[in-house]
Amino acid sequence: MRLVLTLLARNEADVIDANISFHLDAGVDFVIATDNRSDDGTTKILEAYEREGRLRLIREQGTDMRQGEWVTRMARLAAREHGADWVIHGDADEFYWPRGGNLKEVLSVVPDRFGALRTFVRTFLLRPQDDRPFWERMTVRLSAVAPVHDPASIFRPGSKVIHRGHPDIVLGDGTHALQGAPLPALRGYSPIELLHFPFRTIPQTEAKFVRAWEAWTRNPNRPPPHYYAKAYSAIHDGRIGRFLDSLVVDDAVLAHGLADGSLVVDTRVRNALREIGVGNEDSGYRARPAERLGRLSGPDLDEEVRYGAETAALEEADVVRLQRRIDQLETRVRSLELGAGAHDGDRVPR
Amino acid sequence: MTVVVRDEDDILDAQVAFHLNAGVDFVLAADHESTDGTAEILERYEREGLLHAIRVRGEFQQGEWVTRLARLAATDFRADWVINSDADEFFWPHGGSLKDVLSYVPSRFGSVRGMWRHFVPRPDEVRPFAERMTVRLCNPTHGYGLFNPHFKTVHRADPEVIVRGGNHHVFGDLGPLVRSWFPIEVLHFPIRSLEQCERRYLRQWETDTRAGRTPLPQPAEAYEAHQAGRMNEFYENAVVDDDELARGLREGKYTIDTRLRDALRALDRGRDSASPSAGLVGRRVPLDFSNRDVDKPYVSELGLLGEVDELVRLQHRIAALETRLAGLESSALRRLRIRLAERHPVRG
Repeated sequence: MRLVLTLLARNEADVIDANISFHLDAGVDFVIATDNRSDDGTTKILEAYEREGRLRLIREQGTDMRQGEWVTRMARLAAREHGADWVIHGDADEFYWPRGGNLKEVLSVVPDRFGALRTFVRTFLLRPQDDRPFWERMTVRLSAVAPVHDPASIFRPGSKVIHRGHPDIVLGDGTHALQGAPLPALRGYSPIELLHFPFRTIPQTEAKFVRAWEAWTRNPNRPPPHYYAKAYSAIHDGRIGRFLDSLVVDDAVLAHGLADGSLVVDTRVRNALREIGVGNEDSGYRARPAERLGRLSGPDLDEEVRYGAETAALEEADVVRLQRRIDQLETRVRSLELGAGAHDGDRVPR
Repeated sequence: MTVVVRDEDDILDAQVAFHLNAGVDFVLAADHESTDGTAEILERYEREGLLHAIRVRGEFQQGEWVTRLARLAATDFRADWVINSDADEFFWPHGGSLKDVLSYVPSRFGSVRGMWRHFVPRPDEVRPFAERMTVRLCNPTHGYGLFNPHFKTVHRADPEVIVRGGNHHVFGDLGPLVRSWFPIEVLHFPIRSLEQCERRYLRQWETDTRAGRTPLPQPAEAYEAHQAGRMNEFYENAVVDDDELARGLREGKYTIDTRLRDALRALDRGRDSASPSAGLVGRRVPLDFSNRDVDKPYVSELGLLGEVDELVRLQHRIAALETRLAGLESSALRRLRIRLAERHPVRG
């Protein structure tokens, strides 16, 4: 099996080396990366992996965040030119964690007739800043056993799709679903978690919101996600400091969250990156040699049940998303009845 | 655990003993006019204080009887969780005992599901069923047969619960279902011998016919075979012999699964051989449920269950509607453009 990871990055120098090293260690054979106008050292890191023969770098100069189009381009390249049997699509702050063994092992048991899987996003929270890298600080994860339905919440349950290589595949913005590819999705088996570290420092988070808002608003096909709008509005109104502070989990909040079960301490990524040696002076930007394939720890029973409960919350959120889709259908039918077609741009995010 | 039984003396002792060693504290049974040794088995467990049996008569009313037992579990037997089983089902937990697994379920959730795994009949009716039936079907098919992909729902105790016939669905003020996580496999041994096969299908045919329902295909076929004196042939067709097994193992249709056999052997070991009629009652043996490895057939069967999931079906229907509507919108837009062009022709 050949497993290809695609990465879309812009100014992610604090996380991109850890991301690529982790995935090459966890079973990924090759990385296709799109660098969208980075100017913080990200490009240099990607080029280091490119020189090692482990990465193909696409330099995308667009300013309009055509995420679906760019990810689709990489997914097709993975199938057409890099022999991908399976393709996973990541952002720089996303770590795909196989629930036992490595990524190839858990994908190898997917029966041939299924072509896609859902991965469940589990979000790590911003902790008070100190000099340590994000993975040493960010070992607190949200464990929501009830869904957050607010479309403007950055913590609402989400998922991404992993799929077999296909030369004509089409992915939408956010990589939540495939469009028009003959790859039936396997439901009920989610052997890969997506461990997400979206907000790592206050400056990085503020820059991310500004950059993303500006890029999304230039995308003609889709309005910015609601939560970017919320953050941008805070920036615009001069409330960004308070907004960002509200994202930080301090020790008091942590103690409370641990007591009521909404937060858990999760050191898996930290431990894996320590073992790989990311951040050591002698590793730098170097790609790890290919001879070692990491084996990552599987869940214990407590974690297994927690995972089941969190995926159930995602499914409850799916019901609400379906209701929203029905609302959209009704609006479009009404529009047709009035004699005009609806416009794609009118649709609300799912 | 609740169980509705009728003439199940080839399997019932093993079934009750297994579950009492897998984390079940107490069994509630409804005996539906058994005439074999079933009642004696139930009485043995009753004498030990491990089971309470009620006797039911008349037409087979599974949903009604199981509902009565499940409510009784909540009101009179202080149950926290209730497993509604049939005599031919063995609830095999992943990662710990049934009690371990269920105790971890967050309090706001009311039910979880177990996935059916079907074992096929094998030749040689002398040895107990679990010694012979170590072949599991890997590719169940959707339909009305005994070997379709399906689930059983395990639920928190509720004095108002309603359990539908078949024990697949429960209704009540239970809290949400943990939909995609199947922490239990339900090892299913529906056909075990010629006599039991004939009895099972003919009863099913009679129940359906009396209720004015069209009998399902397999009971109908069995009834025809019975009438024509071909029941042996019907049963032999269902049995997986050694040649078919070898072929099926090569093709991935079957796999060898000795988990239940090994568990029952462990229960049987050290039993009081001086009084074999005592059966397995009172046996206390730690069973090992720690293995949570999954293989391709397991994932494949989960996928089959996913295909019939109500939520997934709804998603497919909405996606299909969106596609159809997009087609209509594009036609409407085309017509609008034509009308506009007719009203305002471009003059060249």
